[in-house]
Amino acid sequence: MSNFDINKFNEKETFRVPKGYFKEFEARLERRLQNDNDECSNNSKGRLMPLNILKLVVVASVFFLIFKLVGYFTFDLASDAYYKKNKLAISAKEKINSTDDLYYYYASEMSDSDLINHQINSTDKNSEFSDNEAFEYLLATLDDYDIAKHY
Amino acid sequence: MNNKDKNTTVDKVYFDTIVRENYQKLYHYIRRMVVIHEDADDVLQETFIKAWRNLSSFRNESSISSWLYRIASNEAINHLNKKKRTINTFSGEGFDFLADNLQADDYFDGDLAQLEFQKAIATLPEKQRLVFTLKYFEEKKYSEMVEILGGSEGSLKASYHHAVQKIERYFKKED
Repeated sequence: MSNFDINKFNEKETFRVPKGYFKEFEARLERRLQNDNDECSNNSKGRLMPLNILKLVVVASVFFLIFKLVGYFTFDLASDAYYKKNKLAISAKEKINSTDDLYYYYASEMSDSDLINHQINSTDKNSEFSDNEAFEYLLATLDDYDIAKHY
Repeated sequence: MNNKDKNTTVDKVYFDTIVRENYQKLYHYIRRMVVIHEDADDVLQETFIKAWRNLSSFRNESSISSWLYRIASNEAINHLNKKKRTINTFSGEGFDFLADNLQADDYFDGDLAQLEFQKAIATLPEKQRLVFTLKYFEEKKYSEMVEILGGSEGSLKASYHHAVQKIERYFKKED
């Protein structure tokens, strides 16, 4: 082999094909393609369809749940708190006509609020407040709740 | 028969023609790549199954024959790599284990020189083996080989040149 030259290596066909192989291959491939088609059409017709719908429903439910939870913790809680404080201010505006009213309002409606109680204690209930001043005072007290700017 | 069925029938007739026109030459190409007849049979079948499943994605950017050669090349290399992993993980970059298979193959008719030649080809790394088989045995033009393997004509010429040098070195070493 010392004089080996690839360009002079003419014996290219060294592999024998078993007799009748190609005919047999053609028939086998035909069967395999047929099976492949049947499988594909079965998959698209029914077996996988309910599974896909089920997957879709599960994914949609999970997204809906996440959306609701995020919405609850960010918007619902905030708006609920805002609504309560807002209601408080409106209620105060309706009820407070004098300093005494303010005092009783504090005492009856808002006694459970530490902040307001503190303001009551530090306020001289006998001092003269006009109705408007009383309301302004209430709003200032509630300012921490960010309500005043809405009036 | 609805439109989809009609299309499938048209595709099937077209595909049958493609199979008849190409399966013999593809078999020989794959056989030279994987050596063993049974392996070539498996790879050939997988090639046509893949071609059938992806017929709609064939975009006529190359000839249908080049497209089939490309699928066959990928399938053959995947097959060889799978086999290499199961047989011997330390056999270097070539497919040396094929030489042993060749000696045991009932359908190998080559003489000693041809056996040595196949052994030399078996030492080539994947890309050089593909390029050498397409150029030397299939007598493909470099422009066709670009359609099959991608890359540039220059890099394919370089790969072929390296493959030939490696085979010649193999024979010098054997002396």
